[in-house]
Amino acid sequence: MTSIHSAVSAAGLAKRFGARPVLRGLDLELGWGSVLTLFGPNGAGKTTLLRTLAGLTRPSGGALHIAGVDAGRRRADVRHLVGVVMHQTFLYDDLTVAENLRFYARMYGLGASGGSRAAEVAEALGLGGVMNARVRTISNGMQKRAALARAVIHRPPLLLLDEPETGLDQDAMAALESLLAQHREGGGSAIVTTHGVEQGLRVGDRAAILHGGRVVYDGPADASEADTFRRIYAEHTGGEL
Amino acid sequence: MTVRMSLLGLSGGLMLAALGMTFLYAPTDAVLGISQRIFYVHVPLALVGFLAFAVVAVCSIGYLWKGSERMDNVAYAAAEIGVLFTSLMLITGMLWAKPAWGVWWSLSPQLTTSLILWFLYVAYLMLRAYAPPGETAARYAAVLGIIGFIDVPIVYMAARWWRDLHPNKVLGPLAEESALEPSMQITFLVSILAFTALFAWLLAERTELRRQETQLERMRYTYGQA
Amino acid sequence: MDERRAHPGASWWSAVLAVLWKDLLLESRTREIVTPIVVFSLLVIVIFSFVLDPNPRMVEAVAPGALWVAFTFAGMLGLNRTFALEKERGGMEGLLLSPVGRDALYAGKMLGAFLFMLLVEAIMLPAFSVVFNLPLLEPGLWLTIGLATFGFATVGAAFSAMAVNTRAREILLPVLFFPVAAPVIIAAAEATRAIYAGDAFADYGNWIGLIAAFDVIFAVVAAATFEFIVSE
Repeated sequence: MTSIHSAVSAAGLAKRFGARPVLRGLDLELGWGSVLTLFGPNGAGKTTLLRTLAGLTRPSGGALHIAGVDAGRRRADVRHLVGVVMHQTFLYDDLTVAENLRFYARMYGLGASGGSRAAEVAEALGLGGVMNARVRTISNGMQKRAALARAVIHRPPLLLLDEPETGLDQDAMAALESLLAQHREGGGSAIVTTHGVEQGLRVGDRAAILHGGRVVYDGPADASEADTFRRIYAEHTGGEL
Repeated sequence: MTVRMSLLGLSGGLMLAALGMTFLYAPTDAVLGISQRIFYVHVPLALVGFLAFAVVAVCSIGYLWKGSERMDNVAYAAAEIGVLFTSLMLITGMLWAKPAWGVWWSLSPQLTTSLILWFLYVAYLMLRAYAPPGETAARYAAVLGIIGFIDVPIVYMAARWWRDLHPNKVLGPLAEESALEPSMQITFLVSILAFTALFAWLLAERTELRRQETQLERMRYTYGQA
Repeated sequence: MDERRAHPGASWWSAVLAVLWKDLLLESRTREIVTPIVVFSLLVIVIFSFVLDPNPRMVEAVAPGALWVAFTFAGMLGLNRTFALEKERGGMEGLLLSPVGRDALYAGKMLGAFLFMLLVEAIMLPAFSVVFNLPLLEPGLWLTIGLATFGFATVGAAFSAMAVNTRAREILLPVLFFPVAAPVIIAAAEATRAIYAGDAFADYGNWIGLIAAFDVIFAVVAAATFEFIVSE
């Protein structure tokens, strides 16, 4: 999954909705084997950035490459490279967890191996007990885990997680952290948005701050420097974490 | 600016000429009498309305192809003017139908097609109003602009097989040989030119206005809030 | 075609079938499309039987129109649900993230809508035939219904995907759908009239041809433009 190209390379990336600019010339480089935590106030463009990286929205300007593929022009060719978790689960309430996972496994072209791959990710995320329950009937924490399982079913080299801690309990958070660590060791990369400083600095090896549609700070993440990071954040955004 | 001014002058001049010829030059129809003169307004409105929808379709394809905002502005403007012209065409048609056929409305192929066409592009304007603003509305409208225009000949076929009591068209593939006297033909042609020029002028004005609206909106974000 | 091969995800047909299978499975669980629409449509038929004169000449004149009014209203309700169910947990985005062609997503959703409408019609038609004492075992009628319903699904699925993101979506879908589907409704009602009158296929074949042409044209146009409907 690693290559000479960086995982993400954005230069002057812009996105407008109608006349409203959300991303205003954003620059970002992310190599392989790295987890970037993205902080920023609401409305800074975090979700829009992830949606653009995921190929859900077309950039209005600038250049964006994912694993060397032009993600602005050839969005179809980056879809299998990314795994996405957003606020919504992307699961069907009236299908069981197993059915949901099998459906997405088919969509990602896993074919006959889809069933065993679904069982494998479910096992890793502690979903074994609820595989045959309808999504509607399981707890929010379990739904969130199932959403995560859905996102990684096709072994994407780039993970995009939008505030994944929302709705996750302690155990699930631990499962997510170990999944991210494994992912990184395997050479994969991830971008995680969050509001939790300690958590964010722990899972990431880099931390960036997004403000007004631009990356205003980008540096190494160190969980022991949370207070320093809070100060930096306040300097750049005028807000508090 | 100069282009729009000259289009205004051209359509104004042609419109006056068409009006004069309609009432002073063209002879009164032997069968239909004075009411036939509405023909010089009604049919050009229909033809130019249809031209407007063709412009919508072409610019919709152009917009989806190139993503150029200008194409979208032209498509939107053409749809508005097309609906205006088609509405006037339906009204003048009814005004003419009453003295000519004794009824306001009939389910002839042309009338049915025109009415469905009118609904199609009213739906187009509604879609633009109700869709999320910006690119989404533009993309949705472009898809409808293409689907709608492809639909028109199918609607016409269906309506034609369905009922056929409308007088034949005087132009185009279904034209009857020398249906009109030469003086009537000349008046008709001048009238078509006048309405086409009017359409071109309105289109240029409306497109420019849309461009300015978008620009103003952008400036509001750049210099205003945020 | 190249575009299709370029996708590393599911092949075109397996993506279509996966989407279709998912919709059928969901519907078999919830029955929130077919059951309420069947009840609604039976009500429509009963109301027609109240308001229309039961005199056989009258029935012959208005029954084909009534049948297609009932079918289009039922179809509209089903089409409204087609993409509404995708919005609930962001399922539409789940589909859009999948590495398959947008035309495959369209085809899967469209075939699902087609099958649901067909199922509802398969229940309505016998009820209609009984209430108005009309023949049911008419292969020509079944052909007309199948082709016209497919035509409804082609444009209906595309408009449903748009309407679901708009304000006033329940009302906007019929406003978009009826003018475009008008030729199919006219042709289907006319073919049905001919069939009920006992005419030979040659007498209504042109209507069938018109519906078939509509189906082919709009299946292709809607599949080709679907990408512009769903991608921001």
